Amino acid sequence: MRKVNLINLFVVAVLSLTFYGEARGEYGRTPDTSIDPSVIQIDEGKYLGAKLDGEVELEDSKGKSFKLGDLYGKPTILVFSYFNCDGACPTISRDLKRAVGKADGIVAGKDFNVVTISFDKSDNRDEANKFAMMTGTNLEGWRVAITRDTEDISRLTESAGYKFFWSPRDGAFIHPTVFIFLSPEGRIVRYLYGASLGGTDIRTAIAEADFGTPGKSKVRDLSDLFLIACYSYNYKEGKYSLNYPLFIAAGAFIFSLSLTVFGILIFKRKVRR
Amino acid sequence: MSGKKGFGTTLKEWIFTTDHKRVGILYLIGSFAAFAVAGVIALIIRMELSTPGADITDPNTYNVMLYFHGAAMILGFQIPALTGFLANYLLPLQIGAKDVAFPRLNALSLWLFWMGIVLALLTFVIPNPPDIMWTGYPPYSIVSPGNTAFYTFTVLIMGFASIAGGVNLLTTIIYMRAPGMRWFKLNMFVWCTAAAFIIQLVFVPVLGSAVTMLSFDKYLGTHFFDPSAGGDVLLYQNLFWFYSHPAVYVILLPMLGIMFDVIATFARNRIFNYKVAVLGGVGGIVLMSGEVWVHHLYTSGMPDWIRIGMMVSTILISIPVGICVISMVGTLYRGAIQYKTPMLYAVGFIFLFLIGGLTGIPHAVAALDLHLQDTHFVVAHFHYVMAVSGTFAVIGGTYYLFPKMSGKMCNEGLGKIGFALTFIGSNLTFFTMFLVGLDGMPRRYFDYSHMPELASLHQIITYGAFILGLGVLVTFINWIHALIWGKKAVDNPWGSKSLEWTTTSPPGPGNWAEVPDCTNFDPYAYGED
Amino acid sequence: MLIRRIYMSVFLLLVTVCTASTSFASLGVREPEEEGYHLWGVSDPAEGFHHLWEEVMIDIFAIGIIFSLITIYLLIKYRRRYEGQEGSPPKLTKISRVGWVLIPVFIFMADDLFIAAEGWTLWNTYRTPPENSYEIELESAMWSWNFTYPDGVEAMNELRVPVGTPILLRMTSRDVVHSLFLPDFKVKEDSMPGRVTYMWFLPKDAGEYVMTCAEFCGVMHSMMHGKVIVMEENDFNTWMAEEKAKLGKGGA
Repeated sequence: MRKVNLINLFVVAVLSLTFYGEARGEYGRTPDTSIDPSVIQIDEGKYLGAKLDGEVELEDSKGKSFKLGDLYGKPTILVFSYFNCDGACPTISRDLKRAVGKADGIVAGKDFNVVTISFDKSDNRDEANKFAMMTGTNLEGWRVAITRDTEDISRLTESAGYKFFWSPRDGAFIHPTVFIFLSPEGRIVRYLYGASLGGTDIRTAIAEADFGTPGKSKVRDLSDLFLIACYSYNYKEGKYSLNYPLFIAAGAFIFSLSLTVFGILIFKRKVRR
Repeated sequence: MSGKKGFGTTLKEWIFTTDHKRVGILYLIGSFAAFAVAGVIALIIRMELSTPGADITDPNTYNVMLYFHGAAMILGFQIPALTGFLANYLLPLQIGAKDVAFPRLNALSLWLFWMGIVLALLTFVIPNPPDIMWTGYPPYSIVSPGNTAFYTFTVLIMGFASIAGGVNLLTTIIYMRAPGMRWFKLNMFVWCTAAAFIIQLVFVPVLGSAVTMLSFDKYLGTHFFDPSAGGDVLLYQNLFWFYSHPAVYVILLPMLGIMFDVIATFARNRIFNYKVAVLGGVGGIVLMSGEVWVHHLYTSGMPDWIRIGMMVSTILISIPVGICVISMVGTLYRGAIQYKTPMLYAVGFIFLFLIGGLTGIPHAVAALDLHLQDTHFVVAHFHYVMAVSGTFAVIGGTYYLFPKMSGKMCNEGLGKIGFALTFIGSNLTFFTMFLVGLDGMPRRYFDYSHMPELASLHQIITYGAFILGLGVLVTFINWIHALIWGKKAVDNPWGSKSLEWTTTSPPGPGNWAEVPDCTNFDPYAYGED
Repeated sequence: MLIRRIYMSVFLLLVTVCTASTSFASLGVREPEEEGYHLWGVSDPAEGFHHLWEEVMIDIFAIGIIFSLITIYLLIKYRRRYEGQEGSPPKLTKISRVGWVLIPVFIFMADDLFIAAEGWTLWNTYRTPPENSYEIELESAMWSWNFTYPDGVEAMNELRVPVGTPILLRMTSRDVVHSLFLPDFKVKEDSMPGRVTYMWFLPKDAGEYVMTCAEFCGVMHSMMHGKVIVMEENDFNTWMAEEKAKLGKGGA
């Protein structure tokens, strides 16, 4: 069932690239092929919970080298991009920046890290810098990075279930537009898709990442708990949706509880008379 | 009385009755019918399990039978027998009311309950019977070929019946007590049922909403519990147990209540520490009932810290229950105990409940429950704590009330034989089940060919089950025998001081010729006159 | 008489305070990771289970036997001796009323909290997989267990693991809720669609162990079983190499 839904998701994603790209301008040159979206689909069930190797050596746009594992200890938002992309990649980075800006109460760098890693072997530090400037993500807590060892690219993307390939006809990489949320331990907690994410999506995913570490689930504050309870991840849409059954049941409970209390209050008044 | 009137008239009188005593007796018949059928089903299940491999049924039928056994025993027997039959019959008599507050609503809930019983029994007639167990966890209940709607409707109808009954009897307790019947003069049974009804009223709607959403998912294509479209599988389990754990107390409280009254009557003694048992014990159970449900979900992938929190609260709920049990045993202290059949059942109840309660402790400890959950150990535990204890309470209560209901006395000898058989049978069955469970036999298993070493223990369980069945059969025979050939009972054969025994046996319409004055009344005034 | 009563109450008070304080002290629940602390010095949940199980059994048997003996004593002592005998209920003063609540409550609570504290510590052992765990993925389906090893080797219903290595299972389900139950390792955990759950165990001795499903999942629920095959390190490596070779051939 989930497979079908994911296919739908990618049909939507690719169709939007294909048909609306030029019209809206921001997706720029997009492949006009009808690629089977299942080729780049992420099998979420298989990869959720997987641990990404923290030993992968990276170099950020300022030339500082670090390991992926250095970011662990806080939740991490991982984005795979390639820097020559003039289509989806910069756009989703800007979208992420916008969504993070809307997420109240959490600050990049303090509560979580964002790292964009290039999967294009030919990318270098200058392009990373250019990309960071272009997308406005040269900020505290945000890193735009390339891998030191190009071999690591395929290792990293494979262990996250992220698939991409070069399409010579389109002159572009075909890849999913996804944000991967890592737990403080470096395990994949959530995949969020698309450009229409809101601040709540980001906050909920970060809360879940904080929360879903094996053996160490913790709550930072009650609002996190509230978010996790009230939102549930929608595999079909690739983002969170409201947890309706909880509200319905809670409504039923509050209704019956208040009726009972109300009844007792009426009884008390009658007794006083 | 039916001698003068025709059979048809009598039947009509019973069907259209709004008298709480008749409603209670009809509840009794319905719930014991469900009990008998579900009990026979249990024997078939045990026969199937006595050896590894398929013996007399196939997995499909077996699962349907398991579903029926669970649903019929809990929704059709335990809850209606305790909060329907006993409460309807006894409660107005104990508070000195002529009838319940809303007699017609009472009749409505009775017939809703009968509809539920019929619906449950239809399980064996319809083409695709539900095989989703009485818990009905999605996604299995959504993808199952079985008819989930039957499950949903049974739950909803029984839910309506118990809400209507709860509103009705709570109002009765509050407004229709006889003059001078103050709150702390009430029988323990009245307190316990009142508490049970409060729990019912508050929690039933949650289960109602959960099963409704479940059937919407199955039949209308919504995605409330479908993870691929934003639903959450675990949420149903939480909602289900959010009601169904308190439901355990709905069963437990009236069972404690009736046993308190039986023990007080036959030990010729006051309830030990009455006020504390009411406020601390019963009140404590009501307050704590809604905050322990996650102990059913220790292995279900809930966040760790919730499981730990609920572990502590679960362990702490043994305190109010413990207070009740201490009062119960304390009632024996300096009493003058008469061992009549109802008292024997009460004594049996104390021991069975003790075993059930104590084996709850390893379950409550989350780390141990990782092994015990969903094995026969938990099956044995809840059969001790609510199934067998509940049956003992209902049978003991029925023996206790039998002279009042029918005006006939039961045979003591047969009663004692029946008690001995049920007591031995239940212990043989369910104590052995602990051992099987500890060895890793999961519940709801049709076949255990990969654990053949358990076969001998399983055989003992099956023998035990048949002894238990025989005991219940003897009890039924005793009752039918007493109905037809029993000696005539006096108004107060047990010499109880409680209000229900001051009227005639059986009580006429309106219960008393005039409403009794309870200014100087005390239900437990033993040894003081 | 009065003196005896005072002695009695002082004694009971002492007992209560002692039990309560020891249990509260033991409430300092420790995480296994921090300070390398493990209950009873074991880091293997199954062994911890046996220790805690013994303690709880002693505990509930003690409570049960004491309680039953008191009840049986009362049942025999206070049987009715002659027709028309009535009970002579004890007159409780206010203090004894409260005492009869507080003392049992404190004893219960002390005992409960003691067990809870130990259970909590063991729980932390159960839920904190060691750093060096061997991580295997499990996808359950109606009605089979599908394991994927880190190198892509797959296995169905037979989980082969090397002896002495903690095994961490990361679980999800393709269709309905299942529950992987390893009776010999005293652990189980549900696997369900849309969520990731995990559990770990420590295979100590080579041999075959039962693996079975504990959450009702349909017609074949009781046939959804398999084996955990614990192998010597070398055997496991050989098997793994063979499987990898097969995988390579199949892929090529």
